Amino acid sequence: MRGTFQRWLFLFLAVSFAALFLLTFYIQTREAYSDAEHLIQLRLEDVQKQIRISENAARTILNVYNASVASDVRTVAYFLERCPAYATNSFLLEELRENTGYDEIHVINEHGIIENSAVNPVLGSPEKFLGFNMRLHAQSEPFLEGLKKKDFVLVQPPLPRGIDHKLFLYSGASRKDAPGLVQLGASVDFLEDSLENSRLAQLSPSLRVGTNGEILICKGEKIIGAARTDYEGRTLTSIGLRQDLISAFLQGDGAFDETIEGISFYGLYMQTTGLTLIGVMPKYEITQKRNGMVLLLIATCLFMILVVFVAVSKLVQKIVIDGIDRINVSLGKITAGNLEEKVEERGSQEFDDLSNGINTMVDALKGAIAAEKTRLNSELDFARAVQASALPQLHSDSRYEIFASMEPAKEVGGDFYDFFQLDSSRLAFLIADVSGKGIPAAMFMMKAKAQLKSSLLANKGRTLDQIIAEVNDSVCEGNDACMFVTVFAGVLNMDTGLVVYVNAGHNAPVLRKCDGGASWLPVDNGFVIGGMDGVSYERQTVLLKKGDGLLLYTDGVTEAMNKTHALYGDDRLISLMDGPIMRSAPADCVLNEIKDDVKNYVDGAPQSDDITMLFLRYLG
Amino acid sequence: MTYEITSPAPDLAILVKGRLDTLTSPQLESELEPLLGKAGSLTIDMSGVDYLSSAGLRLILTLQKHFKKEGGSFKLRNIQPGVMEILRMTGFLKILSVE
Repeated sequence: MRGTFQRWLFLFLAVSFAALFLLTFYIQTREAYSDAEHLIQLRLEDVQKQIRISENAARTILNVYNASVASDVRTVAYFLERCPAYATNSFLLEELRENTGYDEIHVINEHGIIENSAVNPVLGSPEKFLGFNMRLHAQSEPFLEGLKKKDFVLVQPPLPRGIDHKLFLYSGASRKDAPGLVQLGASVDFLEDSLENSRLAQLSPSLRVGTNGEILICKGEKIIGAARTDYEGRTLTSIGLRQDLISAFLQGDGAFDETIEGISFYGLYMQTTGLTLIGVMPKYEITQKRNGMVLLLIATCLFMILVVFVAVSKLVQKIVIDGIDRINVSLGKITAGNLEEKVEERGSQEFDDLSNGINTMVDALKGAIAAEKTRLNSELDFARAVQASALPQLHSDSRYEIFASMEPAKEVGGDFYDFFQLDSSRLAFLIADVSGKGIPAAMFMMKAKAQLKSSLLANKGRTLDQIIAEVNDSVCEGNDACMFVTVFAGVLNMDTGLVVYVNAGHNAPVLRKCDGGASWLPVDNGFVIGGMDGVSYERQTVLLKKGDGLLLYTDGVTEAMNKTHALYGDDRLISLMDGPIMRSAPADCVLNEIKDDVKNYVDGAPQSDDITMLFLRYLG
Repeated sequence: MTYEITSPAPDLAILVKGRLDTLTSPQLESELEPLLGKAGSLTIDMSGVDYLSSAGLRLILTLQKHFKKEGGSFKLRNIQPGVMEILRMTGFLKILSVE
């Protein structure tokens, strides 16, 4: 029972633990990804904000630059009004250009044709600009407005210039000295580069997400900003991203899973002013906290399972199993026959009820047994009285004295004796021992006794051995139970002292001679009565002198056992009978002497067999 | 009391050890009963029997009657002196085959 309980308890705890584990794992995973997503999103928004701030800063710089350029071009127009020689002389114009620091200065006539130019020698020569018609190119065309207005100033955004498509920032103003325009040009590659660089340089510290995650800033497929500097300048394809993901990146916002260089990443992407921002975090970092939680949970749960398992097992052992064990011990005693045993398992209503139920049942059983025993005892007492009344006890005549007794081991016995006169001169006496004990033996005994008596009385003309053989045959009839009886039977001629006797499987009697000691009466060992029909017996004789006695007994005397299971024995009986007191003691005294000796010998050990004796003394 | 079958039926032979008394004799009888149907003869080795009560005698008598009726042979062998004395006194030796 304990094993079964423990198995179920363990199963229950294991299933609960598994369910708790799975639930926690699921919740923690979801939380981890939600946290990661939140973090990446925040970082992306930060970067987006940073980019906007940088762009605003760049725009401010451009505006300031543009204002300065506008001022410069107006100043140059003023200068040319004051010193017209510089407008026509190419050397002077070059001198002016060098002093202003611009890359180009063009002087345009009222027809929109460049008539004088000064160009930074690093970038080209003035000759190719001379004669260039401003009307012929979209970039230069807007400046022609200045030919009509006197206070015209225009600063263009950086554009590919009309002459060779090189990126230039041009500014122009109407001339004061003559109709026409003056134009300043500056190569703005440096400006773009420095703007771009400053923008990204500000961003790079904020491109980390967590410990190992980062944000990639992409222009199209090209990575232009990343926490890992080796990614800068590479394409998304080259770092191992799937093509369908790359197409998705260029179209909107979303989330994705991807393995880059063997590491699983989770990421988000979003669009911002011509750039794609991609935020990624390695999954092992996302789940790091969850794994810690789960490990802690496993350790805690295993400990709890152990504690609960041991505690509940101990508790069940203490409260239930120990109680049941104690009840079983009591029940064992009860079923072994000890009806005085009480079940006293208290402590809970159930055990109280069980104990009371068992005790009540045992009490009822005891009552029933006692009632049955009383009934049986009264019947057995009755049977004993019937049996005792069938046995004569004392009979005496001037020619003999006879005394007999039977002490059954149980209420009724299987031993018997009998004596009766066949006629005025002959006395029949016998002793017998039925196989077995109790009621069956007693019933068989009554049958055998009646048969012996009636045959001995009826067959006066036949010899004793014939009579015994006849009794044997009739007892054998219908003796399916195979019971048998040992018999010693004798007939005393009261006139002569001659005893004729037959022994059918019984112990040899003791002959106590008046003028000698005690000895075994020589007997033929005939077969028991009731064992098999058709058996013949031998007739023997002994002549008793006046005062001689014969002791007939059953093996209940010689096989009486003391507490060490040692037998009383034939020798002790013979030596007792040899004693001088036995020579002339009355028959009842002889039997009492023997009984006392046997009683002393067994010293309180329970009687195991019927003790039956008969003493006959011939008085002549 | 214990016993072992030293030879199977039809020439059944058993070796008995211990006491043949009121308790053990009916037990041996009920265990031998199913074997008797096939047994043409029975030999009981009594070398281990140190006590024989009237119930034991009754068992021997039952077996003797069975084999007499069925026409088989029934033998006792290796009988201890104490047991032999009981068999002698009760006249059983007159009807039994003893080795």
